[in-house]
Amino acid sequence: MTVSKLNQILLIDDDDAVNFINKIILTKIECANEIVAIQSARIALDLLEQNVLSDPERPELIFLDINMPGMDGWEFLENYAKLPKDYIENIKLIMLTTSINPEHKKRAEQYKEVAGFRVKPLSIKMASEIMESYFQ
Amino acid sequence: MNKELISLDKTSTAFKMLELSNDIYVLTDTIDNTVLDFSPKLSTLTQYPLNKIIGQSLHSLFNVDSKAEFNSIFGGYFQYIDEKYVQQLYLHKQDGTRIPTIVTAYQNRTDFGPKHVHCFFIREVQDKKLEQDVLEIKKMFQTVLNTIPSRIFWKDTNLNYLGCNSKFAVDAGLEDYKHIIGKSDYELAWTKEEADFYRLIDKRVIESGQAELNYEETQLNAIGDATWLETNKTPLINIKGETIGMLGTYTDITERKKSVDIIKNTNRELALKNKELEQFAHITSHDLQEPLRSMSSFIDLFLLEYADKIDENGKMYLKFVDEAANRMRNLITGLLEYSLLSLDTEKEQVDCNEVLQDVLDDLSLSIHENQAQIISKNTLPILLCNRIHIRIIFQNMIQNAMKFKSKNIPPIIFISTTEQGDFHQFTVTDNGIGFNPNYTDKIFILFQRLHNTKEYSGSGIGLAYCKKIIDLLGGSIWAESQEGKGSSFFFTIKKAV
Repeated sequence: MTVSKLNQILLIDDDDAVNFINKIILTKIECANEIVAIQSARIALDLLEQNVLSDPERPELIFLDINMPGMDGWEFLENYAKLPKDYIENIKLIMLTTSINPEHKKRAEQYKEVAGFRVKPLSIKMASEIMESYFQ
Repeated sequence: MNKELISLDKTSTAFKMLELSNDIYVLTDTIDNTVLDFSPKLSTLTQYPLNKIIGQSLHSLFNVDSKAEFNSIFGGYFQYIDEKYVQQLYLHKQDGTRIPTIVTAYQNRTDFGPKHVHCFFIREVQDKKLEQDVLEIKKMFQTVLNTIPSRIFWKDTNLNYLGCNSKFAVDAGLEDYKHIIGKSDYELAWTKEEADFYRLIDKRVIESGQAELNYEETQLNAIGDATWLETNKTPLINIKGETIGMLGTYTDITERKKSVDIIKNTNRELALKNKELEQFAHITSHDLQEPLRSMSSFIDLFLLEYADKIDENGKMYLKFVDEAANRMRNLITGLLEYSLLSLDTEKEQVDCNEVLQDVLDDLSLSIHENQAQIISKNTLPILLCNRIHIRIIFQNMIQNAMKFKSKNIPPIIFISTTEQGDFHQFTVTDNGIGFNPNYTDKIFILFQRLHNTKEYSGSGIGLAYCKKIIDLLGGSIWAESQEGKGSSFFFTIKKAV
C-alpha cells in the first residue's frame, strides 16, 4: 500500500515557531506538494471560502490549533461546518493542540468535521502515522 | 401543751430600756421554736391575750405556713454563730389583718433558766408603702438573678455558700437555689480539683479585697458536661468596709472556646497555605526563570562564537528558541503578579486625579511618541482602595488605547466618571482599532488575546489583571466596541464611605 501524495496541507496556528517546525517535518516525509501555514483562524477561513469557488481541490489536510488569539479553534470549527458539504467532505481536519485537557478531546469528537485529535508536538512518526491512517 | 411564763430579771436598767424601745423581743425554745417570753407590746399590737401567745410556735404568729419554712427563712440562724438575720414578715392580728414588720433573729444561745433560747426582735414598720416596695424589689431581685443566663453565687468568709441563682443551682446539681445555703464546693457537682481551685481564688479575693475578673476555668457540671467558664469574682464588703464574703458570676464559654479553636486551626492552615504560596512565588520568580535565562545566555554565546559556521536556517532555529524563552519568562512574571494580587489589599483614600497624573508622567515618553492626547472630562473621585491597584488599571487602560491605535490617527483617550448609586462608574474611550464585540468577554480572561504576538506584542495579562482588581473591590468591568470604531472600557468601584 502506498500513501498518496497530497496537493496541499494547511497549517492553522498562531505560533510562528510551531508552523515553522511542522512545515519542516511534513516536508521531510514528502507527503504534500505544498504546505501552507496561516497564523490566524480568521484568515484561514477566508482562504477556504475562496477555495470553495476557485480551488475546490485544496487543501486535503488541515492541522488546526485550539488556543489562538481572536478566533480560536472552536469558533473556526463552527464556521468551517457551514462551508459547502461536498467541499469539506474531501478534507481531513486534525486538531493539533498543546491541550491535554480531556474535555477538549471530548468536545472535538462531537464535531463530525473533525477527523482526529492529536497532542503537540507533531513528530515525523506522528505525521507518517496520520498519512497512513487517512490517505492510504 | 402548757408552758409557764418564765420571768426575766425585768428590774434591770437594761431591760427597762428594752421595754421603752419600739422593738418587741421574743425568746423561743431552740428545740421546738415555741415562744417562752416576749414584750407585752406584742399582745397590744396583735390584740391576742398574753396567754394565747405563750407556748405558740413562733411561725404561727407570722404569715409563714410551717415551722420548716420559718427555719429556712432564717436558715443561717440555726447554723451560724454571731450572725444576725433580718427578714420582712407580716404579723397576724386577731382581727385577721396583717402588720408589716421587720424581724431580726439574733443568734446567741442564751441560758434561760433550764432552757436554751433564740432571740427575735420584731419592729412594726410604719411606712407600709416603702416596705411593700422593698419586698417587691427583693422578690424582683431574685427573679432577675434567676432569669439572667449568667450564673451568680456568693459565699461567706469561710467559703461556704450564702446564696445563688437558679441557673447556678442547676449547674451545681441542686433542685432549688435555696438549698445552696451553707454548702461548700466539695458537696457540689464539680470535681475535687475544681473545687480546690475555686476556693483558692475565693480565698485570694477575700483576703486581698481585690476582684479577679474575666479569667477562664473549667467546670464539670451536674449534667456531666465538662465546660469552660469565664468567671468574675469580687469581694463583698459591708457598710463598715469589712469583707464579709465574695460574689462570683460566670458564663459558659464552651461554644465560644470551640469556635476559637476552629478559627485558630483555620488560621494556622491559612498561614501554612500562604507560606506555600510564597514559596511557590519564589520558585516561579527564581527557579523557573533561571533555566530560561541560561537558554538565552547560551544562544547569545553560541551565536557569538559560531554565527559564521551555521546557515540561515540554523540561525532561525536559534531565534525561535530565544523568542520562546523570552515569552515564557514574561508569562511566568505575569502569572506571578496575577496570582499574588489578592494578598495585597491595604486600603487608603486615593485621589484618582493624582493617580492619573502619576500614570501620565510615567508614560510621558510613550504618549509623546504616539502623539496621544489624554483628556479627563471631569474631576475624578476619591476612592477607598489600594493606590497601586488604581494605578495598574489606569496604566493598562491608557497603554492599551495607545497600543491598539488606528493607523495614522493620533490616539485620543477620554476618561470620565459618573455616579451610579453606591458606585463610581469610570469610562475610558479611545479612537483606536476597536475589536469584534463577540470577543468582549474573552479579552478579560488570563492569557487570552485577540491579536497575534507579531501584530501586537503582549502576554494577555493586562485586562485579566484589571478584572481581578475590580472583582476584589466588588465592582464590575466590561467593554463595548466595534471593529475600526474605537472602544470604550467601563468599570465601577464602590464609593469611599
